[in-house]
Amino acid sequence: MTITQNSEMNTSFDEKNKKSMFDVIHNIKHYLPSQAPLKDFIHHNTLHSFQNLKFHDGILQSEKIFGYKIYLQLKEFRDLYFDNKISKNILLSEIAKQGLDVSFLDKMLTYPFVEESNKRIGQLRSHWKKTYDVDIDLQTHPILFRYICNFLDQGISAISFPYPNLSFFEAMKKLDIDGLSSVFLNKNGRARKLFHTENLKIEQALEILVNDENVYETYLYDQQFSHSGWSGLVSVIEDDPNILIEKRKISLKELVIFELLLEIDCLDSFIGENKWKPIMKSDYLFSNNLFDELTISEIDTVNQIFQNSYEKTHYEQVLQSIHENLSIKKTNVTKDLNFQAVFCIDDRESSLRMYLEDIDLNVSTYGTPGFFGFEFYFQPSNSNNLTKQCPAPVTPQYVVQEVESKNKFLKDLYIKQNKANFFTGWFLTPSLGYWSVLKLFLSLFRPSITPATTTSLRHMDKVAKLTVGFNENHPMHLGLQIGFTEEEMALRVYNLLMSIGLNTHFAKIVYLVGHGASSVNNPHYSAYDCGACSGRPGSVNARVFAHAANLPEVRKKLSAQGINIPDTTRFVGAIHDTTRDDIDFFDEHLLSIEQKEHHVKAKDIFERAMTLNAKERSRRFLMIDSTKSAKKLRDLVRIRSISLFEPRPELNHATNSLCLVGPRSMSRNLFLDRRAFLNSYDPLIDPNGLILEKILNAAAPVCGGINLEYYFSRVDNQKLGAGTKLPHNVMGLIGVANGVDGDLRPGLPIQMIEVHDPIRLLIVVYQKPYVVLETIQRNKSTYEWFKNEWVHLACIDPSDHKIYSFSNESMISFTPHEKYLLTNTSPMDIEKIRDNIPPKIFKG
Amino acid sequence: MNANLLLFLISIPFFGFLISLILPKNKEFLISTWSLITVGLHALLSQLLIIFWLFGHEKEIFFRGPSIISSNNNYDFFISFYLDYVSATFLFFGGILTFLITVYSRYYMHRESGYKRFFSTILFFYLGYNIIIFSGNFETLMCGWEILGFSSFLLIAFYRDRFLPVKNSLKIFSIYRIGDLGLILVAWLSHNLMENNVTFLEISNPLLIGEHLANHSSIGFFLGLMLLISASVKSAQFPFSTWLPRAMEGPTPSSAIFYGSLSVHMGCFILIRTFYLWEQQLSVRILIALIGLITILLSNMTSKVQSSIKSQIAYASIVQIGLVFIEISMGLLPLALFHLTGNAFLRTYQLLVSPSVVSYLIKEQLYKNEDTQKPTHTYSKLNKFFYVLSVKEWNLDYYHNKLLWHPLKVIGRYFSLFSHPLTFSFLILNTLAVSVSGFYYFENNLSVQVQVTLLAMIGVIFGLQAFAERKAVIWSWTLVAMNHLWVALSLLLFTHWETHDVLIYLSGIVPSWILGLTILKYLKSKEPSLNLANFQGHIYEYKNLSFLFLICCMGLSGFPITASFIGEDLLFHHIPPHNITLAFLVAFSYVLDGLAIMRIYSRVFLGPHMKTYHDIASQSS
Repeated sequence: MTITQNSEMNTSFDEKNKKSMFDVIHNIKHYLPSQAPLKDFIHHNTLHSFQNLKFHDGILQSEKIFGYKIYLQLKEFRDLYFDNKISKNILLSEIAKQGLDVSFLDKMLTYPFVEESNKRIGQLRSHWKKTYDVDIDLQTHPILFRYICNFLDQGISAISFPYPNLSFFEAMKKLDIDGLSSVFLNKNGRARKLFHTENLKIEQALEILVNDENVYETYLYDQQFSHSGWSGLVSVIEDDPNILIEKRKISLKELVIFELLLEIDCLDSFIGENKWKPIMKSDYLFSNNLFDELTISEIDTVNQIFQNSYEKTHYEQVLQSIHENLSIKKTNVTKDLNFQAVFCIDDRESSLRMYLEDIDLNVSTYGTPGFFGFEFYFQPSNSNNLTKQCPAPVTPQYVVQEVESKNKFLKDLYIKQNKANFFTGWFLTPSLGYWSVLKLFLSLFRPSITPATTTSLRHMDKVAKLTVGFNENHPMHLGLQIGFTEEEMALRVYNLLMSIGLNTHFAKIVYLVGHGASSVNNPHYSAYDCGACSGRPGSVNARVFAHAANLPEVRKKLSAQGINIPDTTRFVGAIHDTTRDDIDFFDEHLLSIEQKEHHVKAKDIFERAMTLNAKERSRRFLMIDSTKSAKKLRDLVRIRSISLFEPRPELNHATNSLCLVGPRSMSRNLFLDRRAFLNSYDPLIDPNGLILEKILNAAAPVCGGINLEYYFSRVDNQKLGAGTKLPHNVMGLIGVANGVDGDLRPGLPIQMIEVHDPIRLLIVVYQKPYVVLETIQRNKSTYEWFKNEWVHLACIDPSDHKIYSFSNESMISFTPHEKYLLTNTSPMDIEKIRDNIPPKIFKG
Repeated sequence: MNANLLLFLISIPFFGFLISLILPKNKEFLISTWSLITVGLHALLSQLLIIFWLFGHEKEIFFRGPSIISSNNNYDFFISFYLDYVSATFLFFGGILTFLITVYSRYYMHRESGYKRFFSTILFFYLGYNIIIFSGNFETLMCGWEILGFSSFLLIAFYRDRFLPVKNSLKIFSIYRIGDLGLILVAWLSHNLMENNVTFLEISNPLLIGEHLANHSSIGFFLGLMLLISASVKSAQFPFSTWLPRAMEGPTPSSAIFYGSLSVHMGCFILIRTFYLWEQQLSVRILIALIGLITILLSNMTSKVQSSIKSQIAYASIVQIGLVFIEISMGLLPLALFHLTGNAFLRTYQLLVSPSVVSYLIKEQLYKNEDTQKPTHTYSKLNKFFYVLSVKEWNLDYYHNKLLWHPLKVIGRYFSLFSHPLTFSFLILNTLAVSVSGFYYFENNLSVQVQVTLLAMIGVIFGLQAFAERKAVIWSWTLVAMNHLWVALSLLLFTHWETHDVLIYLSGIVPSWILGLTILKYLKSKEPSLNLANFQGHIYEYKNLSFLFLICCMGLSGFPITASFIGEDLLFHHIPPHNITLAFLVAFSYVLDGLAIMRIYSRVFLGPHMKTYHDIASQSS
């Protein structure tokens, strides 16, 4: 069996000759990791560049070409089988699907397969080490990384890069001339001469190093993928320079040329200018092109069967449970609700919602992406900088400003830039030093919030005002409209309410609960905040939505469109801190006396729910005894968020595997172990799937991206993940590396993924199968996710609750291979279980 | 006050370390609690001791252990401990910081593979630290010094499945070895000068020192120079500064305490401890101040252009230590101690909170006004002029390579031309015959000296070959043993075939060599591709074997776990004071051995695993 790339990468040998350097660089950019700088950490599919292929084919290619590990180890799969985490019946059916005999099962479980992989990347360039015993990476990488990092640095170094306004290559040239020492080792070498040549082309340098156009591309792949971390970041910044606060001009092309020159310089100084030959001029045999056809070996098939069976074992349990849960008669909860609460789709909110509804039957909750349909930039008080508060691909036209804030920026003398000269240092060192040991004592034995702590509650000042409404006197700021007009607000409120199916039966109070996280000593802090708000807390959006939905003019416009919100109903914004299980409400003073009474009751319910939520979360923290009282556990969980020594303030999206799109009746009372993204949706008001389309266009890439980033960081934490975070060193405020000379480490650290099961996301939609099928086919890029099986899809027909699963571009009626018995559970039952728990009916 | 207290205090980390080795690997709570008890008890007692010492009358406490080996010709090997205000200061901050870091790591290291290894290594390091600061003579100091170097290697290479930590730990071990060279020579010189096993208590008597050094000012200068070299190495002063940032490869708390504070101030300790040895040498004092000054000037600029947080802190620390060097050279010892304690506390804390820098500075930029937050572009013309040079760390690494390691490799390779079996055995037999016969025929002393020096040179050649060998593992291992044998042979000549001392010397080396050889042969039979060309990471599959081999490595390098450590000292005792060449050759061959041995261990067992059925780190991490 063979597979080939079928996109623009599909190049026969002859075509490659014609490929311009521009295309080559462009293609390399496509394959490089695309992680943004730390402050904008946004989850995405790590292997997005293979998404045009079927999942297994695509990742297999990445393995053979780049040497990534793409599945669990064989031993882990086998252990899962013997632990009954992979069902035998399902495994047998998957074996049969591959056209293999039952006897293959035995082989899968016992045969000593050889799993050695010979990656193609790096082979050509290993020539230098093999032939001349020069470790070219070791000689050029540290200094190259240093130059790039210093150039891009956002504020660590005390003396910043001298020419911040020039592009990288030009700046380096200027530096080379102005300084005492050349950028290169050889002050009079040919590398330096080339460097100062006008309009230097990549080919000129490659001619010296490689001297065969046919393998230029391979050489550049080898080179750039020997430090994919930095190359990836450069590529991201090239595509969107505005992502940095301190703007920089840099392109991958500049990096490539500069690196080629460094390589020539290195070879010239270690071997001698005339003592080495270009790769293709020496007797070096090279025949392996990176993207040639691949062969699939038996072990690959074994891994695929194991992976599919592992996922299906989980999916089947979930689908049967939802089916059964739908058939359980629910007490009618639509009348006289105490409150309604709209949460983010985030899997971390799913358990809190379960507890809220369990404590009070007259509470109903909804889920939707946590920017609540309002896309804008937020400008904190006293700041000239903007921060994006909506999903990353959206470019907002609006800005919401914070005014009259009393928030003060707290200083920390120990983390600020090292600007002191050595004489003041001489004076400062002892005085700060002796004080620091006391600080260390306190932070170990009595952790508290310090200026170094990141907390979601400080993102926006609670008492400051926001410029939500448009004001003709102050219309624009930096080309963005300040605030929204009533028209624009009404449209957004309408869209959101229709999307979640909340268009009638409003309670007295409707909460909009954004979420964020708290942590300290955590360079990946923004990965813990709301992904729908570009890695920031969702507090501003919640408050903006509540403000808009409370305006009488907006409500008037809404009622014209059929949504009648009673005057007694009030929307209240809130922020839930997922690490600390704290909640903060905004604009409480605007509530009427009657509403206030409701609010006080609701607050109590929130408190109780969060306490229980903390207890459930504590199960996963091995150093906490989860059998303690919920109150005590909540305190313990809170301490994690402010402890310097805690690398796991929370576990973020770990274990995520599901996304449910439908009314709450699908999942109400269903214990899904915080594994599900929950998006509310009412199929009855959306017969043509127009609303569904919008939901899936966002949910598939966002939830799928999160899920796959966890998947790949888990199966190959060394190459696709960031490794353990304990030795991480912060580079230029934009990334982390190990030690001082290493490459940047994109992906997730092991502390975030160690409890994650690498399972692809299953999206379950509550809608008729033909509507779902039609809907997903409307958007090509969304459809690719499903068609190529990077995300799985199933649907439940609202009329008869029959289940269908998407396979081979059609909806197929689902019959389980392994019957799953849905049983009850309670907080007491689960408190001792550290592992994942299969779906249960929750009885609090 | 009872001097046995010191012995007791040091025995706490000693037994704590030994017991930590036998604790079960998966019992995190037990391991960290045990370490905490050990370190906590030690810290508590030492703070109490300091308080009693402060209020007592005795300004110095001295403990002299029993003689382990002594002979009629003035030789006396004993362990001794010593407490004065210098040790008290180092004990004060060392105890507090190690305790705090142990508490910190208890949670921080949770679920990390190598949890036990981490705590055992910390205890081992702490043991070495204590032996050094309490050492009452050079023998004891060397003992701690070796432990410190070795545990540093293990801590930096904590993430042994990655390339850079292993490569850097090897590099730092090599630089440390240069410091060892200096210290070995200092110990040898001072013994010969004082004609007995001199203690630090005696050194603190200026009259005695003055008397001995009065007629040997050149020796005094040499002594000071060697001390300065080993101090500069350990405290990352010019020209050895580049190792410090590269030591930051382990988990942040271990970097924070060892390379932020304890290890890096050991150089200052050596200088302060031996202050009276070089106090009278104006040239040495100027040299120390000069090294401090150059370090300050270079590292200050280097630290300012660092865009990674840990290297910035490392260089800032180096600058302060440069100031401490100047203070020491001026004789302001209390000020120096006060200053370095503050520096130790500060850098530990700064490194510990360093991951917070992202959220803190980004917030600062985001929430502060444009005019106050803009990073001041303080690049004057001067800054531009030195910018690239500072980024390149003043090319120090390049020159280390060019002037030191590369020539060694080249010479070693040149000599390995002789390693053809026939030529080689001829060479061996020939030298043996010549030297042995030489001993019998020329009874006069001078010719013995020449013969011995010749033998030592051949030993060094073996060491160089072992160091330069890039392929055959077992051959390299054997060459190291050959080096020792030749050194032993020269010892035999000196002692007029007195086998007693030679047996002591070889007692640890030969068994370690044989056991190591067996291990390597076994491994070679299992993994035919075994070689020294690249890192192979066999520790992934052979954990126990690698531990056993590590012990062999310690044994073969004369680490103070076998009697060979005393043997080395004995050997030096036989080298007369005027034969600096010989002393240098022998010391140099130890250095080479150590390097060759650790290289073998690293290449075979550490680094990214050659088998790819699990996730493998990329070369650039």
